[in-house]
Amino acid sequence: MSSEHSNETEAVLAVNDLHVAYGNVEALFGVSLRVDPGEIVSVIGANGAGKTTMLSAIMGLLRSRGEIRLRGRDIASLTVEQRVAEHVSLVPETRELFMTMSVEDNLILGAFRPFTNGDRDYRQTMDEVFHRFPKLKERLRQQAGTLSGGERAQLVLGRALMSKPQLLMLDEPSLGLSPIITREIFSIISDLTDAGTAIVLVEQNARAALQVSTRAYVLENGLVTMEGRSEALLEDHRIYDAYLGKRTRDAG
Amino acid sequence: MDFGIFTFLLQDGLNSAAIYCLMAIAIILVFTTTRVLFVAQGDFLVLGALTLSQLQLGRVPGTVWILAGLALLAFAMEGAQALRERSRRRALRAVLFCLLVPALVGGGVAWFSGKELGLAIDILATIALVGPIGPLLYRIAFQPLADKSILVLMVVATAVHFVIISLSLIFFGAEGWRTPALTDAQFALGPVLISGQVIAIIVTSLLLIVVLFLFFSNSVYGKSLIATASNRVGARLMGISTAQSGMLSFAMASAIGCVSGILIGSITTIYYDTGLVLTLKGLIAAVFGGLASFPAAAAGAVILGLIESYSAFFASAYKEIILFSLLIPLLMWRFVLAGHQDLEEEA
Repeated sequence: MSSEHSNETEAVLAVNDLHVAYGNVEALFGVSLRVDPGEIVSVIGANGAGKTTMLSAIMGLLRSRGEIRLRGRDIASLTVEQRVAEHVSLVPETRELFMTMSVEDNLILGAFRPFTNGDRDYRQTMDEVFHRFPKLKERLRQQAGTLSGGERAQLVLGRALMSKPQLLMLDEPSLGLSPIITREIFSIISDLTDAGTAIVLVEQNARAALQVSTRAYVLENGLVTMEGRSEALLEDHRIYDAYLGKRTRDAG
Repeated sequence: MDFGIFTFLLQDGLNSAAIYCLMAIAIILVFTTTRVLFVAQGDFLVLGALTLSQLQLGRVPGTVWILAGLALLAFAMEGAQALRERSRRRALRAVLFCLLVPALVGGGVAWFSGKELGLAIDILATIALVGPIGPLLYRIAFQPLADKSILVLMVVATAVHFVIISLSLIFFGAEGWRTPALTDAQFALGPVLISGQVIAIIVTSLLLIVVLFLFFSNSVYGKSLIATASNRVGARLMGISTAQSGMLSFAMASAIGCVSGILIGSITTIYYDTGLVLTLKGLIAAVFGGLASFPAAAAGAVILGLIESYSAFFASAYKEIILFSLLIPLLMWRFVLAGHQDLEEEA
């Protein structure tokens, strides 16, 4: 894994000086971020620091200023649909499953872009997803809305994998899950990079995030205030006091 | 009432039922994909019937001008968007779909009208003229408002309805028109004669229901339409363009409306403003299906058609009142049903 900041390997995602404003209120003030192939990068920070805003801007759901390069190509002017076609995938905090549709239909729709671009063989991708999430195969005909929280978390990851993402952005994948299921989900996430997928992981649960990621960024009030290797940040007393102290230790 | 009258009314009722069913299908289709309660659906039927009647008389139908006007408007909007985005692809698409295709269709029809090429060609020309009006209307009136509330969209749909009937009045006049029968065939079923036209109407609507069912349950594009309706943000994150979904469902709606117009144009006289009443009856059938289920809406359409036809016999003055009063118990029933569903979802 190329965890060092080498400029020879092309970054999957390179964000440069990203600004986002909601009306007159600026939410991001020039954020820069880099993710290499097969790397998990976590972004930690308090509520309202701008983590979700950053992911939405990279996905194209929000207007932004600045450079967003995917494998060297600037995608800042593309629509959400075009970014999906470039194999960028976002799993939002709100999940956005198709609750009234079956598990199978949710997965098939995950492959919508590759399918319409001529890659018709979604069954094979689905088998790979079942390999990672055997539970989903059992629930195939069930409505997504009837799944348990843990199963929904699996479905939403499986659906994202159906688009064969090169860049996968996960917003609070542990939200609302019990500690046991959270551990399960994080162990699955750490395996997702097998295929060279690069992952941006946004988490409140800073300890869990730092444990699975190679590098991390700390976002505070719309600015990156710290960045470095996750192991180093886990030891850092400033991180400990702000994000790993008593308040969150139980959750980890 | 003897058996002859009974079967005649049955036939008549099934006939209307088929048309209400087609209306309901289109209304549900548009509503589930775009959240637009499309009050102007019946106007597509009117445009279909009137266009065919004009073509049969050898005249250039006013629909050509309606299509041209809408196409130019849509081109202006798409062109402006393409300039803003500096997108060459978008500009090319605008030229192709908003200029070239409508010009070819409109020009082609204007050129060959009066040459008496036969009913089949006239029918194809009618579908080619009326079909594109749906997606063009979506682009002009609904796409810019796609994220607005259902109420706003319905008000806009009502405005669209009035625009279309005004244009129909200008181009087709206030008198009613009839189209020639598709077939003169008659079948004897015991003592009753069943006209081929009635069979054509019923078979066509059954066929459309089956095709739509297969489209939604088996094709990825069909599923993408349902997904757009179920969760717009989710659909966008899957790379499904909500604008294209809307365009597709409006294209299907205008085509279905146009076909129903061609089907009933020969058994009912169609006026420029016939559409609204048909839309409303289709809407009752659609409510029967909870604005979601095609089979339930079809069942609703059959009940509606039969009640209409028999009440026309027994209490003809109260026909419409009986029909529209149905909506009240119907809504109460749906309300009880919906209450149940909500509880289930929360559990």
